[in-house]
Amino acid sequence: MSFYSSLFISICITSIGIMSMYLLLGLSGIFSMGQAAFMSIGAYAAGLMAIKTGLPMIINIPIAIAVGMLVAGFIAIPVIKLRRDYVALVTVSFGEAIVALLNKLTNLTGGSLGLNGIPRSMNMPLAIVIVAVCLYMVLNFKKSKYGRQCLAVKSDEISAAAMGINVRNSKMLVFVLAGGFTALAGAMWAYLTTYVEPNSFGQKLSVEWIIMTFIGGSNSLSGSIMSAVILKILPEILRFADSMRIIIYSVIVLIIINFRPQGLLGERELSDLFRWLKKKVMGSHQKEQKGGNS
Amino acid sequence: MNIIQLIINGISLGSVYVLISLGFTLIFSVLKFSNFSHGGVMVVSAYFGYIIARQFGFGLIPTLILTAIFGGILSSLVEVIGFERLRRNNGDIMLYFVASSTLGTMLQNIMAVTFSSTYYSYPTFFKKPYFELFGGTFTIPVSDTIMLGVSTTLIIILMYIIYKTRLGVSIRALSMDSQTAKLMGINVSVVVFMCFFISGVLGAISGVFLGINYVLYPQLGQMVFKGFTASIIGGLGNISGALFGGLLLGLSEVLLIYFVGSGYSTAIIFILTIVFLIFRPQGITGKIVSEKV
Amino acid sequence: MKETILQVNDLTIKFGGITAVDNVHIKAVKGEITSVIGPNGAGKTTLFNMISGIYKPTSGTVQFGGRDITGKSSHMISREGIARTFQNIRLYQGLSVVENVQAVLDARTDYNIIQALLGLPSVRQKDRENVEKSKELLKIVGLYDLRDEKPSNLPYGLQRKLEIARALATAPKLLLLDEPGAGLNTKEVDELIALVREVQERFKMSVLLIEHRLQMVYSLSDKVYVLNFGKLLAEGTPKEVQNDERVVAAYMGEDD
Repeated sequence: MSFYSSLFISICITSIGIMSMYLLLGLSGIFSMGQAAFMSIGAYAAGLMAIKTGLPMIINIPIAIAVGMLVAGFIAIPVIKLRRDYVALVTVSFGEAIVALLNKLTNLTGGSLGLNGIPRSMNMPLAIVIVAVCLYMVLNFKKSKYGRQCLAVKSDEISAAAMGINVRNSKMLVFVLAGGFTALAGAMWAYLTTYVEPNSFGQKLSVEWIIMTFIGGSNSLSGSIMSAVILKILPEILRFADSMRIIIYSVIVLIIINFRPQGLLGERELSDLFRWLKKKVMGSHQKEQKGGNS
Repeated sequence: MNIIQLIINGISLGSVYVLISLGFTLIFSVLKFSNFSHGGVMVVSAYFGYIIARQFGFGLIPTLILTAIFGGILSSLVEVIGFERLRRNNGDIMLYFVASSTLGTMLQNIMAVTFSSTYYSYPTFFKKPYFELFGGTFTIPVSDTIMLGVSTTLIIILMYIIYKTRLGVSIRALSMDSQTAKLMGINVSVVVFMCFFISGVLGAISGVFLGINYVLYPQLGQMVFKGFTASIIGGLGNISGALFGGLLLGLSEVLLIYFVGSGYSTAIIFILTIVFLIFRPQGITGKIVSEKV
Repeated sequence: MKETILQVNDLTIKFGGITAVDNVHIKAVKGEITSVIGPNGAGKTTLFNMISGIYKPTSGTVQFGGRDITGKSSHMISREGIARTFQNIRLYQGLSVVENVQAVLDARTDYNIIQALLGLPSVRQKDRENVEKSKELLKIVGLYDLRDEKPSNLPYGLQRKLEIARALATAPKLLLLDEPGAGLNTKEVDELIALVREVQERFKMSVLLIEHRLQMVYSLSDKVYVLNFGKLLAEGTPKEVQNDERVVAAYMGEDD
């Protein structure tokens, strides 16, 4: 597989991860600081299925998603009851615990050596299709009653409940959904790199995703994805060492938080940009016909 | 290894967790958010302590004092860079989370880049590293004893500051109601600055102790999550919570590691924390402040 | 015989050592406007919070339309048919004006997550219908032209109207208004009085009102209850309460 296809697929995978961050952070205000752990779960689930049962990818990936959603369901139980600070702490601890478990359960997971020998079944067309489907679903979620409910709960839980929204169900739903998407990303990763190990998806990745989401703007889906794409491509072009890259991103985020906290795109989406362009183009037409409008 | 020795070890470890938790709790009670950058301050201070101990051959106490000052300054700097503007502009609470976790990661990575991933170890400060009690039945490392002593002293000093000084009154007022505090003439910026300084001092000293106890490496900052866990168990936002939680966590960890090994102990502690959070989220001593409708 | 829509009996709540509401009884008649007044700290909002499910009472009962709703949770009580507004406005800042109302209708809209994720036409259809209904409600309170604005951009008086529109979207049988007149100027108060009257007539709505502006209370209410220090001090028609010495005494030194 060429370097560029690998990079492209890797960007697709990160985008799916960022979509789940958007669902949690942007739509619902759930500060999940250990989301990358679900990528481990998806990767290991798919990898183990592939190695131990030899079943095809088309079966293993949905299984990985289901496992991710199941685990998310469990973790959601404390998450939906707790205040934001606690949610952050719980999700971080969860991330650490998963890494520790993966290291420890050597018989099952190959311990710190990881899993080897997953078939390289992921390819560009497949990745594109998967990303497109995910994007379609997330956009539909946002436009539907579920998206509005999440935003209502994020704005004000008490009045949301007073208007009839079941706050806990809303949070549970979005957390499970996000877990599913992230697990999918992990499964795709396993089929791309053919190898997973416990430390692949640790706290560092979780924080990186948070950084990407906020640079673009947590309230903007296109913003988060765009910044994720750019921040994934940049190091490849500029060849930074791993740690330096994080430092630079951190500095960018801090500048943004201080001077433009809503992120680069703020609340706007790419579709708003198109609408604005359309208005500009159409607007000059209308002025000629109606002789001005107020 | 008998049970008394385990308990001694547990309390020593616990006292470090108490220190970590205190630095964290102070910021939480005043600004009402979890300062994830605390770990970064801890680890940078730990490296600083290592450098001055190795370069200048300082003993333990001078190292601690100098590192404490360094930590306080670093923490205040962190506040200015990360949180000051947010505070002035009444930023969304989520931005605090992002700022603090970003700063924490950034500091850790700066250490990683500067020092690469070589493990460094603190110089041994004492000729005879162990005290022996009761004719050698129990041993307690000298550094642990000093740790206990220093922690206890710091806790007492902190309590004094909070309950007996004007600064302390301001801190307590701010933690209860920041709007009114401002109206009463309290210079919030200064008080917040001081809180971060104190928190930095505590963090720095915890960092040095961690560096002594373990080995010095950039991810030492992750230890801060032990402090968080301690706060959760003991009760977020108050000092007795930090005390209880830290000691309890230290003891549990030592006992668990002895009986089931270190890998499972992380997972078990996590599960226990979750169980705790489901049934008693305010911790052992805490009170949940509910929103006023 | 007038029908009772809300019956509160011996309702009490204690916070630690403090009894915030002490054996209060309230009866709200269907289709009428009932007011609860009293000096600051009398326990009025706490009473509302118990009725609407935000607090659980220590003792006593709340009966709505003959059903016991004591201690039920907020969103369940909303589904029973009680809607409320808040003293310090709690609009959804992340949604536009029309979306604020639509979000309420969403909770009563019937499609599931799978259908939503797939973006089925039936989902879009139902959402479109909700938008139309929301626009109708906005027209009633006079906010139609500002439907795409963010709530924080609206002046205070209009934010209050939005809160009412949102509460109406739950198609309630009883509307709880918590100090809707707070922070409004005289003209806005007049508009509010007219709006509440219109809502009552148009929807045959029962209203329970907490208000400080006695002018509003006396011109709107059919029945008034007076609370002081958590206890029921007096009850009666506006005229009776206005002239009650105890009420006047309780309000002495109170600025309006």
